[in-house]
Amino acid sequence: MNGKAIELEHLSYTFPDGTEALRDVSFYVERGEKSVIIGPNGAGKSTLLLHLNGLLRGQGAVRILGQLIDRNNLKKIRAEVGLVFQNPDDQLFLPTPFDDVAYGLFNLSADREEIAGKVRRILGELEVEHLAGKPSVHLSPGEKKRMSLATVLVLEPEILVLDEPSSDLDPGSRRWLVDYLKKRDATMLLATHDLDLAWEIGQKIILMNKGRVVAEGTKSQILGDRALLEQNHLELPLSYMLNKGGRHT
Amino acid sequence: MSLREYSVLLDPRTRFVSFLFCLVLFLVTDFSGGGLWKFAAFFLMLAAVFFLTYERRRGSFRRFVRLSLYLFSLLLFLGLVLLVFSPLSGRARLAGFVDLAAKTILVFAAAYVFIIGHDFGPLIKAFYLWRWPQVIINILTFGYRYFLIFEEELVSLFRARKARRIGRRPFFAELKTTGSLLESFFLRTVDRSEKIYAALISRGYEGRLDFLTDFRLAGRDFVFFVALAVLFLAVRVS
Repeated sequence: MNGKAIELEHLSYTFPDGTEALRDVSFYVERGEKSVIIGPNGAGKSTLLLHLNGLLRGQGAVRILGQLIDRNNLKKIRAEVGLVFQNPDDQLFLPTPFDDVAYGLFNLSADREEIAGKVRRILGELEVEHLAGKPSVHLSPGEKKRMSLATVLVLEPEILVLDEPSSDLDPGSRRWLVDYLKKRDATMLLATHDLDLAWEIGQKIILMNKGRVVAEGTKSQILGDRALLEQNHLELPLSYMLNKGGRHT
Repeated sequence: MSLREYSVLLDPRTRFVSFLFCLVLFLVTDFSGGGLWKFAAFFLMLAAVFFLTYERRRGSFRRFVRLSLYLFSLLLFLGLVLLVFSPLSGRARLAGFVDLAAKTILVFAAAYVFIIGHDFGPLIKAFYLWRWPQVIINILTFGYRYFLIFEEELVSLFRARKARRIGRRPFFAELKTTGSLLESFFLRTVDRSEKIYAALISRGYEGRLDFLTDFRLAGRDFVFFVALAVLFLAVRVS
């Protein structure tokens, strides 16, 4: 098996209404690497993420840990790629967060004692154990975000894919999330237009616009290029500017 | 443990069986004529159960009143149907309506006390523990979730309209806007539903939902049910 966790080759996707969402997208993410897809609204980031565990099937090839996604290996792929949706309300569909976190484990056929143990462990790790029995609809956006993260992390996926993880979070919750993702040792692909988040977490940055990959490189190469960012409706991240000024590390 | 803490910890299965018991009992009781005191007694006992077992009392009365509007509409409809179509004579017709109205009110109150007034989630898990068919569990779970989505979407749409409405507009213009809102509501709920389904299958959904529950039928459940059955039956036979 090669060292690529995610590999996309000439991926294109058009919505049923004829809108072209992805055009000839190719890139890869190494195992253990934290990559971030940035781009303005409508760049195709979220659509691209849905291809990574087979929720959408476009033209071109998507390989996860060396395996080409097809109808026969979807279950295996979905166990390997944990996808956290932008809106946590979409991810939490059972009566309580505890049920939601346990849900995916049932699909992996683990026994009940083991499931309960894993759920408690991950809720403890994300510091939301006390919310486990509260109806999901009564959680705050930050709590919902942590819970939706827990629903995926509990499955111990090799690849973690997050769509706009920092949206709707207050500064405290956002800081917690950034620190958590930074210390977590896993292959990660994030899609965001929060460029400060990209600066803090990303080892590799992929810039998309209008369904295409516009540029790809290290965070200094992409997030430090004012002209490139501005051409694509983005701006220099504050963290970069502070860092450049020597006031922030 | 205080009486209050003790009483609110009823197993959802106990609540459901209590509801079924009340339902059958109310249906076989005649409330017409001299039976009206039974209606009052049942109603007061249900109120006592409500007081003892309801977890979130703040706003509960308002919620009950709001739901009661549906009940009154139903009663009005039943009354009209009986008055117009019943083959009985005037007095018997009225007695029939009183009996039917009493039954309807009591069944509604029992449903509120044991089921509607509580979170629906534990009840779904109770059905799961009883090994109800998986298709019913799925329908109830998703029905519950989608109901909450519909509510959220509807509230946000109408709030957006209210925020931008200045002054009164002609009735038909309002009607047209409401029609457009409902169209938008439908599209938004379809979109949300699709996303939820995507989230489901991304975590391996294959048509089955399972739950971990820590429900334990305890002594308090039996004590509660026996006390309820004895008291209600005593009113019924007296």
